[in-house]
Amino acid sequence: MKRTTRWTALLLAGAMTLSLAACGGGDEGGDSQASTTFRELYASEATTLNYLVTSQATEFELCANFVDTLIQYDEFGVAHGGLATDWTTSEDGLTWTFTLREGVKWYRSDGSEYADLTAQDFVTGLQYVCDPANDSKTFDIVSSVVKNAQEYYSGAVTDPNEIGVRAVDDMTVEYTLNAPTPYFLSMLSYVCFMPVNADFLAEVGDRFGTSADTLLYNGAYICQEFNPQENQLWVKNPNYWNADNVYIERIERTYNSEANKLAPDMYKQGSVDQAKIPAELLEAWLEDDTTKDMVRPTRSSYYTYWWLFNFDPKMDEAFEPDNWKIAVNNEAFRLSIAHGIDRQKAEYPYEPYNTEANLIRTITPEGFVDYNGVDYTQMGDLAAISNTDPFNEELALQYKEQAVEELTAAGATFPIKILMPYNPATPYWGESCQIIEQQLESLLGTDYIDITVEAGPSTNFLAEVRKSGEYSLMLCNWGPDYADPETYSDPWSLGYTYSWPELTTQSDLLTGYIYTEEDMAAGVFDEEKFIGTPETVYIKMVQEGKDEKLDIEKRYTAFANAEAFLINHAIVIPFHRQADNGYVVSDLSVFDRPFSPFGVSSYRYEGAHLLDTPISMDEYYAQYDQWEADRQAALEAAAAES
Amino acid sequence: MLKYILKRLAFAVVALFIITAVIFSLMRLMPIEGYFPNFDKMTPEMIQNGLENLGLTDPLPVQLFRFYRDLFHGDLGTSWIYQPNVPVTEILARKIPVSLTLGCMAMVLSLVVGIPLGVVMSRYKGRLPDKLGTGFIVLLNAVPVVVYYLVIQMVGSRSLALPMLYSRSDPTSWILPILCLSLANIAEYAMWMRRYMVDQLNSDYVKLAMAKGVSRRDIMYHHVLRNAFVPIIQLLPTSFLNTIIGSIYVESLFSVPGMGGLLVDVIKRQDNAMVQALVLIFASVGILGLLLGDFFMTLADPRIKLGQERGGR
Amino acid sequence: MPQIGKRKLDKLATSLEEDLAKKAKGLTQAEIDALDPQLFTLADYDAAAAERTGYSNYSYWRSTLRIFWRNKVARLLIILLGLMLLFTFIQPFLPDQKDPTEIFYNEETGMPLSNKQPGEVEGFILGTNNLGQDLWSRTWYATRTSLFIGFVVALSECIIGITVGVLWGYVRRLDQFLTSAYNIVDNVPRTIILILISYILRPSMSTIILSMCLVGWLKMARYVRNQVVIIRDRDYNLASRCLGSSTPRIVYRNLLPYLVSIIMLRAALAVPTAITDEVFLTYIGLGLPVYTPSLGTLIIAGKALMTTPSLSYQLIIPCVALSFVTVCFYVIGNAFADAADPKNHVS
Repeated sequence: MKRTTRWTALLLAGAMTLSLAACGGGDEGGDSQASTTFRELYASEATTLNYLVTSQATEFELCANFVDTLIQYDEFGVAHGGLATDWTTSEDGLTWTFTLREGVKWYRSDGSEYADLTAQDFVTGLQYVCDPANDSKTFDIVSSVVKNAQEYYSGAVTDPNEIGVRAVDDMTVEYTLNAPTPYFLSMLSYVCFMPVNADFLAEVGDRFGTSADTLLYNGAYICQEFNPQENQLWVKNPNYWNADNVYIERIERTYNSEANKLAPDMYKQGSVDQAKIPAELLEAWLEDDTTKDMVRPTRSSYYTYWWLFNFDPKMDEAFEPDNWKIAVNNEAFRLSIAHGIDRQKAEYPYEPYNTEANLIRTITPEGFVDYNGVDYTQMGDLAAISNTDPFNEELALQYKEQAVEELTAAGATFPIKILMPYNPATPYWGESCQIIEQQLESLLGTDYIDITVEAGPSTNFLAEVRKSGEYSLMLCNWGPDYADPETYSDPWSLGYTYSWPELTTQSDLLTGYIYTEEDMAAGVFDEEKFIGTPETVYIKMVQEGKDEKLDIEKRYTAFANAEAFLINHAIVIPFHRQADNGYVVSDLSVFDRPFSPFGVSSYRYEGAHLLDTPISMDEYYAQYDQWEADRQAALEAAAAES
Repeated sequence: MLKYILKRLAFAVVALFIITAVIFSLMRLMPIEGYFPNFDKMTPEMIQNGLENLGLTDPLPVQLFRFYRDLFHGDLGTSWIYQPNVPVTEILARKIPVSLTLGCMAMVLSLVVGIPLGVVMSRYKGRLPDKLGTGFIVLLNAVPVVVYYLVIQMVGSRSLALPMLYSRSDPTSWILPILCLSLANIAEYAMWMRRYMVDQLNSDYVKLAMAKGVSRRDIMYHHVLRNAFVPIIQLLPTSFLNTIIGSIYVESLFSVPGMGGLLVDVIKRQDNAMVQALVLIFASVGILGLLLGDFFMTLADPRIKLGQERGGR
Repeated sequence: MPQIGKRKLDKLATSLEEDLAKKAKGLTQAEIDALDPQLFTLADYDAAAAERTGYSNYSYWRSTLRIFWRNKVARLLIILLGLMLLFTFIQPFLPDQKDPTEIFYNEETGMPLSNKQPGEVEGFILGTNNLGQDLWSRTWYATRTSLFIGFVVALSECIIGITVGVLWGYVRRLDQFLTSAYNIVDNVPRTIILILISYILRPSMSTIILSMCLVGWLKMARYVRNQVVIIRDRDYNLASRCLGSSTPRIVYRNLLPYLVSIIMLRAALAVPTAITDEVFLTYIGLGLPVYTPSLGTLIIAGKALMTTPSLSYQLIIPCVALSFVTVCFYVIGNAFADAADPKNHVS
């Protein structure tokens, strides 16, 4: 008897838990399926909403929609006023003055009004970024241009008001720069120049941006719910100054760490409006008649990837670093590899459907900047490179013959061992390396080269492999920080741990000049170890571009020539850029959203529409061509105006 | 008895102290690159500043001392990277109940199904129900969980039209994750129950009872089941507490915002504050589970005395 | 008689005398006198005589194998597993086998021959994966890799686990220390050790094996220790010791048969456990590099395609291989453990 009661009690308890749980629910499921709700699954969660600290795309996706910037980019990448309506530059190019838009206010997450947006908010924001205690990850962008930012960070200046930003009056904010910077305007669309309300910051303290209600909003959307690893709900901010241009009322995002695997199926069931189609699934979707017109590519990112030859090999003895040193300093050897890699095959794991779409021939991708409608990649010596396919088996074999002769004379032993590491945490990288290994070895012969593909550690990969020089040939990358080709020159500058081209023994890559202590005093570099390092031709060529601040055409041409030098001498082999999201099936429109290669504008949903049927591959490319043409016109119009 | 329990608790504290110290030191071996998602673009000065703000530039003993001091004050610190500036306790307070609710329901389900299954199997030992049950257990043990969880999710959501993802407010969406969570345990409980029952059925007292003509039913329910249940009771507290830890596969598959996978996630992101807190919790769960298990066992079987021979568990 | 101390002998003698004294009350003097005084003198130890009484033609291993062989399912599975193991190792030497990492290209397009269904292209029995690699040779290579990992881990588990377990159980002085150490180590989450090692070292076969070996032996040691503690003080061991059997003899004849059962079960289960652990490590992104196919890498790669029915063969094939191996080891291990248990030898 006793036993029976115990079991009954247990069952009852179980039943009660279930029913209680059932009572608690019911407020969410299935309501508001209005046509202007966009639902998606996302796999990586924003760790914070604090836009002044983060440097991660995952978080930009949110911040960009919640907080507006001084300037905005339209769908063609033309800068327009955002929170600022008007701006002027001083004669010397050092002072920029912005007039703020009237009537912009801060709102809390429940939509209630908090305060007016004032010029002081921009000052508070920048001071926050420059405060070392806040550990802002985008500080480097600020310190490179804004006066006294670096000095304040390192403690040389203690008064935050000395930093080069000032509220002239409530509606006027003024920036003072280190040096004339033609691209300063483009930097303002980045998170570190976003405003923040000082009172609110004081109110929430350390908790700023840790939840939806510890953030203030002045952008197109307000985050109503932010439940990490669970879901997010953004609703349109009806008081946003450009609310008429916001067509999607609600954005419902649900977290799932396996989103890539589940979302395609959920799209078919109609429970999400967008799903990434991973490369592995693409073929199956394109072969199926019911789905083949639903898949489309996404826009290419401006992060570019290229293979680098290591001029300071420090890998294990087993990979014969000394022998590699002889080989890498032989231009014919490098060129035989550069022309020998079948880049389309190497691209296959990333992009099996269209192996050509994302390949690049230059370090700076097409469409990044232009001068009066002429794309940067068509300027100077870059034009020739952009217009020829580097993959050329005959040329590769010719260079191989030359290299064999020269290297034998130089005392190298064959086959040359090539260590090609990859990061196992990066999708498709390992597969791509395997393809290159087999393709290059069969083209150039295993008696010439012996490639070893090796998995590096998945954490600390950069420090353990690239920065410590434990590779022969490796895929590396760089992304732009502002709208100027100078931003792509960093990896080959002094102090960057990429491939150390300054350590080459090949004399025509060097100018013959050796750095002295005076150069350090003059600020050419800031580490003592570079005294006595030879100057590379590339750095000298880049310097010409950097020195040209006013004539943009000359400036761009100088950078283009320098970049062409790197590629022609096979110091770098450009590979590809990555599509932001690969292929997707999506109800979202593409070409009416803001566009810009840098900053956070392109994360905005402003201007986007929800479509009845997803765009197909053909439609996408048709729309892309149309957009290109429209963009050309828009850029020319903008150039004519200014 | 009380003295014995106190002794074990004291040992538990020492053990936790050692475990956290070891993990704390091990985490300090992790590369600094891991603390900064944009390591590549940071200047050396920014890196140095970041390390200082995380307190990583101090000598290890100082860091360890600070950790224990805060811990003593009941402060587990704030998360570093997982959700910067949010107190660890706040994150855990949001996640533990989710895993606990699902886990407990799954446990109830597995007990309700697993124990009777084991009893039935032992009752019909060597006959069809036993063979079917064994087949089921073997299958569950042998097929990788990654695979059959996916099958359950696909079949459940396509054929039964159950929600594919977990939602706090919709209990029907809990069915599939609970099913996934309980399957392995059903197999385990059934297997152990069958084994203990068979052991008991073969024992002399049962043979005696049968010889005396006690009905099979009475033997089963009054003697065998009771005795066979003792070892299971010992397992229960650990299984119960383990539900806090959650399952990485199930929770990531169904979007359950619980503890499963949290440890892996925070180790990968090198959020030391979170790792330490989790290790502390998980280790306490393990130690406490054993202690409670032993304790319950003495309640269930007065013949067992704690503190003498700490033999098999 | 080195095994029995002087004091014990004295004790035995006194207790005998006492017993006799008690009994004496019921006996007449005549009866007492009639008893053979020879019965009350101490017998010398005689190894042959000690065994003589209990003679039977019982052989432990023969009985174990006999009982095991009687299990039809296990018999079938061990034959199948044997065949599979054999084939796994001879497969690369058969004619027309492809390199598991070689990428095959479509001659017309010049692009990899990817995602071909089993039998769709001649020469590819199980089709190809998304890179145009041959799934047939990959599956066998993967099975080989996973079995290798499984066997090495199981072996190390046995060696370390048994050594530590026996010491822990048999040497009383170590018990306190090892028990405390065990309780500490066992409560460090297993995952954390697996992950930390995989992080500190680079992904490779040896890293994976090392990390699994470091955590695997604990359970084995505990099982062995518990078994040793239980059997150590059993009456028959005491008796055997009283009769003067040496320690190695007791361990070998009396302890080992009991341990074999538990060791075989643990060892047999260690193989599938190691294989599934490898799947887990791959799942959290710490698996083997791409150039070493294993069942884990194949399954996780296949899992990504699961939602597309036409590609699910890439998941099903390695899963079948994995499930077959684990089912075999599981069933065989259990059957052997049953058969190795001396209790089941009576009948």
